[in-house]
Amino acid sequence: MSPAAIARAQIRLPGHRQMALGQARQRLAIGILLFGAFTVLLGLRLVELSMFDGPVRHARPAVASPHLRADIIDRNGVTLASSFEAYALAARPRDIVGDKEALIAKLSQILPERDPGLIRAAVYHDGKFRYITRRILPEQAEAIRRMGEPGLTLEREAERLYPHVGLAAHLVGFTGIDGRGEGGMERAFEERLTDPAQRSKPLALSIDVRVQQALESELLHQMNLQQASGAAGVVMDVHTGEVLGIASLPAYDVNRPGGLTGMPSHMNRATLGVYELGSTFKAFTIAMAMDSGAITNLAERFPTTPIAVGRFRISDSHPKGYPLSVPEVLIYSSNVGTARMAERMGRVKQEAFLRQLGLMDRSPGELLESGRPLTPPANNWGTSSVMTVGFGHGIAVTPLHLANAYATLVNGGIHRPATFLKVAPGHERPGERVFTERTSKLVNGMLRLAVLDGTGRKADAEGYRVGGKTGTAEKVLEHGRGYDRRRNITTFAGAFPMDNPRYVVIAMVDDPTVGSRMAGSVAGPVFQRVVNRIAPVLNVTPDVSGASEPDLSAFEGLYNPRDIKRDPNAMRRAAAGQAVPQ
Amino acid sequence: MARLMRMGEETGGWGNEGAGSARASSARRNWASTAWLVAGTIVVAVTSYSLSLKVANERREVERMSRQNNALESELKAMDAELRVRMRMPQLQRWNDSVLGLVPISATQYLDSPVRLASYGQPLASDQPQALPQPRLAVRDVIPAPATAAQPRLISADVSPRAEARAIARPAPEPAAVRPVSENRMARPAPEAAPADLLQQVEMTFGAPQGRNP
Repeated sequence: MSPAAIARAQIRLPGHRQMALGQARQRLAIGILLFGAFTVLLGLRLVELSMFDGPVRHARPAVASPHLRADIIDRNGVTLASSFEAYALAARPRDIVGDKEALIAKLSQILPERDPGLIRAAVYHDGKFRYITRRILPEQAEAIRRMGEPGLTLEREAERLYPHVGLAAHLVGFTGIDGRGEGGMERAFEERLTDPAQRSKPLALSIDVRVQQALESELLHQMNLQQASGAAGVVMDVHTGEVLGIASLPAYDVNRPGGLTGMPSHMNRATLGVYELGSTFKAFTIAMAMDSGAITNLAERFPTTPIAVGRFRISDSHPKGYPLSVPEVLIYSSNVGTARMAERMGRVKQEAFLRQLGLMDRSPGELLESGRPLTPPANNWGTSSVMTVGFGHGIAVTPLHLANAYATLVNGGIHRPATFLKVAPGHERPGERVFTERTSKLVNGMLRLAVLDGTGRKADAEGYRVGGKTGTAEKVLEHGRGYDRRRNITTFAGAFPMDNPRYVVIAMVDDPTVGSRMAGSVAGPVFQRVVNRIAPVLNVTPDVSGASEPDLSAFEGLYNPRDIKRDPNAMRRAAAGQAVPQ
Repeated sequence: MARLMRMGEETGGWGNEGAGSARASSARRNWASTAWLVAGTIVVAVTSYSLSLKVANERREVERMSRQNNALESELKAMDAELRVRMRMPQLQRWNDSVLGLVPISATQYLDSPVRLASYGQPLASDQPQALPQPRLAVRDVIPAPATAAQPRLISADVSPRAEARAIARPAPEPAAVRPVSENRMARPAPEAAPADLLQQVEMTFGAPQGRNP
């Protein structure tokens, strides 16, 4: 640089200096502004974290929660399913250091229930990773961790425990090896049970374990006694639609469900299996005929001479040989009488009533294992189908369908779909009216007479004013054409106490092979024993005086009581101190 | 910011070179304010750090307690589950079927009044009132019924020695036979012989039945 240039460079004019100072101040101000903005940003973030993100942090603490999956409880809070912390043990054979035989010996000592051969197979496996066992206890996991073997991996997972083993197995369901629900309510409520916000709140079912145990044990007793292939039962609250007990036998151990999905023990016969439930449908047909105007007078007599419809012949199993009044048609379970009523009512009304009762849709309730009824095809629902459906043949429904329809019939005529979830008091659903209150009351009286004087005498639980109807139906042949006369489905559908029905009980025994094969002798006693056991639990007070018998004065003279002393009308009169006709 | 710019003008402004003493005092003021600023920052930082440490400690403590709570809850749950498993319904049923043989109460065993309950097993005299005694309400919320004209029953007792001797000689009335549970209604097939381990388990739970104790 030349001296002149240096001199020129060193010369700083006052305006230049001021400009430089101004620039510096501007830069300083910008820096301060940036720093201030950064500080304000940090402050705002701190405020946000402390004020708005705080509750979320506390809701999800970084520590292990005991609620891995929500519990399932019964209506009284008894635990049906609960989760515990467990571990899965896996081997990475290539990372194992030290003696493999010694390792196998130590593992066998810690896991005595595990086959040493399987442990050996996992340790000597050719691959990179293999499970040795799943669901080991925390103590065992701790002992394995202390071994310090890098070739062993412990993975945390949930163990699902069902304290009551096989009780209500088909309803509660089970979880698979990956902890997901694979059946019953475990499957139906998978999202609810695993939702972090609701995991600490148990899922309350409508069942009562005491009722469930009574139902299952009595059905199992009868099933074993008569060497039947299966059984099913339902206990239902007629006013809320809550299912208090639902049984399907044979059952299985939900703690060890195994890979038997699809086997008979895993099929829910109460909600998935559909059966022709026979004469239990006669009560519906009579109620339908009364409400549709097909029957206007209870004293009307229906002849019992067999009817020929096409290639079918309809006749009575217990022929009386004289025309029967409307109550007698139900008491003596007349196929011919109900077929004539159904014929008079017609297909349109019959189908409409069946639809209102839910007998044309999938079985009610929250379970995903729900069966679809088998009804006559729309293009072949002619007179013969109308008549056979009238006495419960040609239509196949689940026992839960039947329970729900009986609840509608006896509760005053209001249909409320069945539910497996507890309904809080005062939160009953309004329901839809299907039958009139008068019809419901009259049919209740007929059902009481069917137990006292008809085919359901063995179902009578003394003092509990039981009413109901038997149903014996032949099983369909394996190839689906025709019926097997030697194999029956026996059902008893009833309610108690009939003066003010509160509970419906369905008992079904599938294919009894020893002893009588009629519903009155197979399912009737089951019903009676179940009522005797559950009535005290459900706070139903017995009355042997007869004062609480339902009012059957409308049927006076329309039936012949077997035992005048046990006739409800006579018992009511006797309890009131009036004279009883001999 | 305006103050800072004004200060810059005062200290480094064009044409102020002559004010040496003023500049020195200004520099001292600047140094002092910087020192105060640094000292303040250090104080605030130390205080904030200690506060932060305290908060962290509190949080750690809360987390530890939360972990402890969860551990206790898990333990409680496990104990509850063990209890539930031991008293599971199928097991109770098995005990009952094999050993205890209890049957549900029958309709005839229900008593319709407290009077009958009080005199259970004793014969009821025909003149004893069958009706329920009226409960006495703590607060009377209904209008009391008008008093009936019924005369109070006068009860007299013979206290002579002869009467006393007659009373002693008279045998005490036999208690009414309690009506047994209707066997035909509750009839079950004869239970199978209970296995020894089950009997032992039941004895451990309910105590040994009478007559089997040494």
